[in-house]
Amino acid sequence: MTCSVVEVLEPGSALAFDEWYRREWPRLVATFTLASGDRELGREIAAEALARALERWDRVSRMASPGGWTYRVGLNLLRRHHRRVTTELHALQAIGVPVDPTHAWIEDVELWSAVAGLPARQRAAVVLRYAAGMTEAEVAETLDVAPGTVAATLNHARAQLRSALSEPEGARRE
Amino acid sequence: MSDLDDRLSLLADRLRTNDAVSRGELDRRMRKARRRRRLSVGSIVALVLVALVAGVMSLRDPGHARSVRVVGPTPPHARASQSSIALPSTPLYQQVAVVDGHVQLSGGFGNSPGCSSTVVDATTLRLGQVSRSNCNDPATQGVRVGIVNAYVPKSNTATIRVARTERRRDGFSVGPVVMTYASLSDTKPVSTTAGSWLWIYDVDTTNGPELLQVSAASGVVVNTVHMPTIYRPVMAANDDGLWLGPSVNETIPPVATVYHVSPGSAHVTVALGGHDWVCWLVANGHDLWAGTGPTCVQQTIRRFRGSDSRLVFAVADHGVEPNTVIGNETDGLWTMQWVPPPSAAGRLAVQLPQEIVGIDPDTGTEHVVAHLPKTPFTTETDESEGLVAGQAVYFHDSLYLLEPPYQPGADLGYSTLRRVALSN
Repeated sequence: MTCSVVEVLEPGSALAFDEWYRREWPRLVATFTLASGDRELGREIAAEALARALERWDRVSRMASPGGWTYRVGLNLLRRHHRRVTTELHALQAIGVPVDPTHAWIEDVELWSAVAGLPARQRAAVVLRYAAGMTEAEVAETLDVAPGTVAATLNHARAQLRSALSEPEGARRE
Repeated sequence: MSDLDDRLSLLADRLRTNDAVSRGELDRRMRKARRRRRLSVGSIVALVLVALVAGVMSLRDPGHARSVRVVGPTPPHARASQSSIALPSTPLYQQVAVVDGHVQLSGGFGNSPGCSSTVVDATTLRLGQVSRSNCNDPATQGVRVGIVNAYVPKSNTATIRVARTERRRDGFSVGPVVMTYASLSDTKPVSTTAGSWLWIYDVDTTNGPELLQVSAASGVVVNTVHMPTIYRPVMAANDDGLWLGPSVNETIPPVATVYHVSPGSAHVTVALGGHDWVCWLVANGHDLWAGTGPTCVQQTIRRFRGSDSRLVFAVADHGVEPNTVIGNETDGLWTMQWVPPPSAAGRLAVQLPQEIVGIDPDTGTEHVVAHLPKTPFTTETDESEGLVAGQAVYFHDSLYLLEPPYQPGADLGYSTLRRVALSN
């Protein structure tokens, strides 16, 4: 599946913010919820990233990919949040307390937990690829790495997820 | 397409919601972000003007420029000796502290549980053996008492208990729940220790905004104070009690700038009135230093002394804009800044030089004491435009500073430890 859903504009063209952000919202929330493992935090990060896009909308709207810029802002916000609370998270994991009680409302907790267990870059690549629906080239641009690196990162991530989910390596659907 | 791809796509679909935040909410957040913006166009103009004026002054009176950081002769120790080491990616190192007379790095192990700590040879910067410990153990953070957060399953609340080191048992103990709060994602309890007390504040406890004074020796709550509503506080404590004010990230207009609670008092008093934000606080002994202002670009540096908040000095910041400061009366006050401030750099990923800035604890005068090499910084998207908590420590006339970039693939650990000798 290689459909691109990140809007690419002609350089110099402006885009109406209200229309754009309402269209982007579901994917942004899904991306940051999956990346953070926390529904409320995902929503908070999405809102904050959009507020920053709004603040710079004159410039961001003329970028080739306003969405790409916003996802990058959100991932950096999330990284900063994790730096701040990482010791607390370690503490919670150490005593076996669920880090996020909101897991209960989603069906595939096993997969979500497996994604949460990925190293940061693999997790970022997975959420941008599947939740944001980006192509590998768009993921590469957002993460500021080479396209080949994204392909390799996603392969490693899939292998780790399969291992965590005990899914056979070659499992494919017709 | 594999089953895994299907499952990931299905999971992502289920996480997509259409309940977008309102445009009004985004406008409110944008205004808040603008308030936080630490370097406005106006301040750039002001900096240029200050630089021009100071340049002229330094030509006429070379001694004058020493009190202004923007231009002028570099102090002799600005070329202070520096050394650094690359840090490993396992374990991740996230903060530096002085513990039992040693420089200690601490952090975690990424995806495996437990916290790590390592003593650093202050001379060679060589890292010692890595020890793995329970993250609830306050000794991991170099303190003897701390807080333990725990979310309550299937609820939006969380609890705080107090953890204390138990030297006789060579371990630590965790006491009963002392505070229950709403675990909203953008507010969280803050705590600090000084002398015999641990202070814990949260804006959204079951009793409203509340401050707890806890005995470091027994872990028992000895005092509970109903507090003003501050969603994002800056907090510091010394022998005269607890000092607290709204940070520049606060979401509601300040009623006062700095509040004070004496040990054992059930009441909060206003130490500094007005409606400014607090950029930083440093408390030690009977002294409090504070940087406050309508923005951190226009902050005033003050020193207060004693429990009656007697003002010792108040001076205007000369464009350094510190947002985290470390130190005390004896060691001096120190901060780090990127040059230019990242919000003014205007690009996403850049390498920026840094400066170590000293603030004279007796006068508030700022001076650049060392220039550091260019270091990677991600602008626009990261608000840590200067020093952040836990990033640096002063020890034996040197500053030990953790530096980005963050470890590849991990994003949580610093990659370099730098020592900057600050002695003349």
